Amino acid sequence: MKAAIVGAGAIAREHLGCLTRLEGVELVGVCDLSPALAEASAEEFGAPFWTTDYEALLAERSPDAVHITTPPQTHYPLAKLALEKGCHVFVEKPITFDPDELAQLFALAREKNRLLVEDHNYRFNRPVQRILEGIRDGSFGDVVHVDVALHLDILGPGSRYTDPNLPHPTLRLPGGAISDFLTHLAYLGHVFVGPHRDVQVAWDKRSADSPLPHDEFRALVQGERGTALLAFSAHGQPDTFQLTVHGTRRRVRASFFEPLFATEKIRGGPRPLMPVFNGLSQAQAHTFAALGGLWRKLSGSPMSYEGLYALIERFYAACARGEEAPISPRDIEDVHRLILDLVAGEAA
Amino acid sequence: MKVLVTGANGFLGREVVAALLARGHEVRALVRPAAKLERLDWPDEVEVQRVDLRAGGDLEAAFQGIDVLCHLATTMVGDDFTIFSGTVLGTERLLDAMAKSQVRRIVLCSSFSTYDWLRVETLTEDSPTLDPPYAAGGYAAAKLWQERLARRAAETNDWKLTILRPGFIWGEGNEDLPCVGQKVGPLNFVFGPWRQLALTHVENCADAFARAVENEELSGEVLNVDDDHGVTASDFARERLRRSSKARGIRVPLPYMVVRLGVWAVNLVSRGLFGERGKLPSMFVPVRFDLRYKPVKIQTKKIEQKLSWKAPLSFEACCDRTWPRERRPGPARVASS
Repeated sequence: MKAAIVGAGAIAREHLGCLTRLEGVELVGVCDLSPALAEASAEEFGAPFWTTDYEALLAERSPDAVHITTPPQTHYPLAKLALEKGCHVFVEKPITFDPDELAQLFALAREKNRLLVEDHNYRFNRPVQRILEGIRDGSFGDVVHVDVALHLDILGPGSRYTDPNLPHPTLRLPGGAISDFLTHLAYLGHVFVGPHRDVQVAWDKRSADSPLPHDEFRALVQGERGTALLAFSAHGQPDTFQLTVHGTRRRVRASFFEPLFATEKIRGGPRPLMPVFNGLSQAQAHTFAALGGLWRKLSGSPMSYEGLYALIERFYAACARGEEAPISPRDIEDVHRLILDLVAGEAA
Repeated sequence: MKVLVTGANGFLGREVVAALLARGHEVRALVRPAAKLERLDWPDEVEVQRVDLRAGGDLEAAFQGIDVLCHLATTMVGDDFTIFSGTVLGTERLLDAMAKSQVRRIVLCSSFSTYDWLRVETLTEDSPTLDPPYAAGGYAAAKLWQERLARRAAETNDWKLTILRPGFIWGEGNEDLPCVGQKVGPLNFVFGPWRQLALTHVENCADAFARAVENEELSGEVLNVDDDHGVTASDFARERLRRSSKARGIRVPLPYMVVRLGVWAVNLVSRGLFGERGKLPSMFVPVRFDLRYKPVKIQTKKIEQKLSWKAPLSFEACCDRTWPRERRPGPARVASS
């Protein structure tokens, strides 16, 4: 299959890195408004064609699939044109902020019989897939609650979110800089507790002198299958992206920045010894995570972007076989509904 | 002559502005919107224009009445891609604006990091440059792309382009040079202690830029800027430990070949375990290691001939300016190599 990409920024490098490793996929072109960035990306990742003209990319290279990695405000027209030209489309999150635009794009994708996927990459990281497998085979029990916590020092020195010389584009969006991360929090909550019935949201600003409208965010989501606490903190340190899933048979704490997967479960044997075995099991998990993290860095693996690589691989497999997309339109629309309610809480 | 200086409040930029003013030129200083200029003590005749090159903005107005562009601005903070994209986008937008103006001359600040140090034995302006440049990191790639963009624009618009490639620029505020070695606790490892460092003191370097700005005959030339003081890694480490109040510990000299052998062994293990995809810290990437530590002979004939330039300040004078009024030798604090 022939792949092309529009937008040659930082996240595009992850897409390009994956595309150059995928068997059966040929990178045919790169497009960016900056000729230098387009040409440099093409040179570095071995694309035979680069351009600043998106229509020329579609017309001259006839890609089967287009990756859209431009700023969110530009996604809708680019995705629409690619679908109209008969391409499958893989869009960075969020596809759009407008539910009508989202519905139009999915309607167009259905009409053209093409896949439209939003990047929900962490959903395809191994820890999440392992927990989902445990839910499917019954070993996990039912999900009662999930904690998703992202702590990132986006106020620290050199942060692109607080650069006074070049205001970050997300500062103009609802939720400000945190809007850049809401999709991740929302789909990770959604995948375990299902579509939401209700949300309670707290937005806060602890650093009065920063340009960010908010730097702390919590949301309690009541889903069809359980509850989810979604959290973003610009102050909680050190940086982490953790997921704790509480089930009726076991509890798993996983981390995306390090390969941590620590399980506590109901075990056989004397009940007083259960915390001991669980403690030893967690100590082992943390040791493996520390060593595994180092191994992951040195091996040149995609690190926390492993889920993006897995998702892109599934996307192309589905395109080639004419199967359903790895993330259903229904899931994407549910996540967008949740994000709208989270952001509505900001206005309130 | 009226000169537009980008990155004018940076480490090199502020000295270039001072050198140009001292030589009787007018300066329009391009600085970022939030730049703090109070400490620079610039005279009123320095015109300041605040703009972020990455954002574009009103760049065409910056060229009005200008004779020469002296382009020093480089993104220095962030990961490899941030440095690369910030530098390249800024240069692209600056050159686009210049193409709409009457200005026809550029003096561009590039770097020694553009050379392919794996292949360099004697460094001259004709030494091979990195191709492709990406494995050598964001800064080296950015500098090569700046040269590439400037050359293309000069050819298209019939401009006069001079490229200066300085070695490691040092001075007060930038004295902990990565080309000397590595610090581990109290130990200051000096790699290749007897090799000559590719150094230029910031005031010497600024003098070279000011002279290049004045010399229209240099069109199409590339000139390396090196003070040619014959300072070795050990000399520099010794002076720093002796004079600077910030430097602590003892010098531990390690021959280049010993450390390079270690780098080679680490690469061998990585390749055995992970193949081509293995990823090592930058010190263990051979081309990056050699940029910092490879012993090479540095020839400075071209800049001497073409620009009649020799570093105006001696190494002793550079040290005095870098570490003024700081501590002097204390026999217990320095272990001789």
